[in-house]
Amino acid sequence: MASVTIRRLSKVFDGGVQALHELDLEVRDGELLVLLGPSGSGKTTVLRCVAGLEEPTTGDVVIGERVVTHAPPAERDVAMVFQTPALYPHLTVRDNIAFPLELRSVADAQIARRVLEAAQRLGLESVLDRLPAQLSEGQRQRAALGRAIVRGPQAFLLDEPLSRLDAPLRIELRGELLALHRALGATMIYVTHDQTEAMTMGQRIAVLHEGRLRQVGTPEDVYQRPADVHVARFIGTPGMNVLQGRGRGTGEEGRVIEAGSLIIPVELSTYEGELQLGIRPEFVGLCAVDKGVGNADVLVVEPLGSETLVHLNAGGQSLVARLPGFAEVRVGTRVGVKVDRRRLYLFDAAGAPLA
Amino acid sequence: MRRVLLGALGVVMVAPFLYMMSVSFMGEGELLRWPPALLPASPTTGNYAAAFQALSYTRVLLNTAILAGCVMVGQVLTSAAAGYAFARMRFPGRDRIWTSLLAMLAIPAIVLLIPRYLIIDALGWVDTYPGLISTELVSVWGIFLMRQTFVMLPRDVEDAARLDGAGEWTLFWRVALPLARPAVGAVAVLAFMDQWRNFLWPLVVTRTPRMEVAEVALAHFHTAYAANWPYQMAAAVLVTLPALVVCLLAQRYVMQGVRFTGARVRL
Repeated sequence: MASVTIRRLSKVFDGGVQALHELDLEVRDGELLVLLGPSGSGKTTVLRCVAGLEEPTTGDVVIGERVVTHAPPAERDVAMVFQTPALYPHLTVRDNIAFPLELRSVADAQIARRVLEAAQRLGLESVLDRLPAQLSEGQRQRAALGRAIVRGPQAFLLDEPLSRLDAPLRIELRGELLALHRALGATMIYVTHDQTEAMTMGQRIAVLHEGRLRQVGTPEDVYQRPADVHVARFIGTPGMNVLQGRGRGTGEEGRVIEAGSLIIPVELSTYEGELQLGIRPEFVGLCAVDKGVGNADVLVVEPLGSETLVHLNAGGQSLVARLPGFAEVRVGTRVGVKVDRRRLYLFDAAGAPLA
Repeated sequence: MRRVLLGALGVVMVAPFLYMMSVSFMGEGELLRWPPALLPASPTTGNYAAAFQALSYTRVLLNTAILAGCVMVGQVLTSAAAGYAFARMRFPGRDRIWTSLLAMLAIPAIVLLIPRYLIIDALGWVDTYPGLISTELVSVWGIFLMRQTFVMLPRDVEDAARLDGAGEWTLFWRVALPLARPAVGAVAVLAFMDQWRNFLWPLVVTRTPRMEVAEVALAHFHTAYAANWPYQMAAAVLVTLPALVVCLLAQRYVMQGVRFTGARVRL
């Protein structure tokens, strides 16, 4: 296993679309790093540059001590699992898993042993002689994993490997992947747009937005201390409420932010003008009209059992409140809004955090 | 209704063939009676024995098999390799070359007959196997079929193979080609059948009976026994039979291959 370092990586595609802007990222030896971002954010491009399937426009890719920026995929010794299983349809599971070893001229006896080991690890022993078309969706993705682990590569690249599976299977395989990561001590880069997956799997999460790396940190970091407004909005289900506001007053008393129909007191010493105010849905509460920081209209109520999500319109600004259990709120009514003032995030108009 | 229509079409296609079989068992004068008989009054195999002798059947069959076999192998190799290159590799001018190749499909073969003959003559290959075979080894249509097949190979499978350590050659030989088996089968069978029926080029480029292929031999036979229809029919059946067997055996492949170009590869 080895670390993977990306230095000032940029990628401009033929059509002139810049997919990545000077990306710097280090994945430590044995780490499971999740690359998280909405679709089109460039995360798959990062992975393909590391794999050697795309040539970076500028910048370097280093695996272990070796600069592999221009090396062909075969020489990088990384394994990749795709969104589709991408198995060889004409080969049995056994031959699929054996394929990378055969290409590396590993001795037959050793191939047989290692294929069996990988199959046992993934529970594939009974289907080794079947063709991919005869497998279930989950077995196919396991076989693809088997083909990746069998040769003990320097790093694993996983490109949304679970996104095409149905929910129960996804949760099951998520657990298996984590177990595999622990057992192999493998360096893994895991690409996903599903932030539940990112939060539950990643030791660290790298958040990409429009081809730029916005933040790298532990799941707690990116949730509690978002580096900018994009990260704040993207992390969490639903993401952070971001209100467009204006700071008013810099005196001792009247320090408030006006956002739509809300007037929220803040502890910001000197700020006046346009800014963005972030607050997580769990720190938004409802109360009687005129008793909170302002009033809002209830647009949608989503009872989820353990919690209820209430979508509000506060003078043209939309925000979501997460209330415990089943909340007695009716669509179309007017309610008062409370916020936990200790849990506010302030960003400037461009989205950078204000200290 | 559809079945009736298909059935009627089928009868129209098969009837001449069946009549050919029927006539081939008739006596010499039987066909000239009025009204003509549909079935032989007293079936005889004498026509076959005679035709077999007069055709030098084994020699003709051997020549035709060599021509069709070599061209089949050759076209499969050239079509697969070129099709793969046009579909999966990047090189300057690729699409322009491809378009001009396609445009060549529009040139009638007859226009190329004389230039081809002149080249083969200059090489001193007239009346030899190389002369007979070499010009047939590349088929734009075959390349087209293979290219369409390779274009549809899933990108992920190719990427996976590259990461597994496959170079271009391994990718072609061990991944792309096995996946394109139905198309390979179709190219092979169609090449074989085409050559089995090939007439004009062998007629032009061969001179001696020693080099005669099926269609040419049949034409000569026709000239020699113009009036004896049962004879000719027997000879025609003899020549058609091997091709028919191949066709029946390979029917599945041809169908698959043609359908394959319209269907996605299933993972």
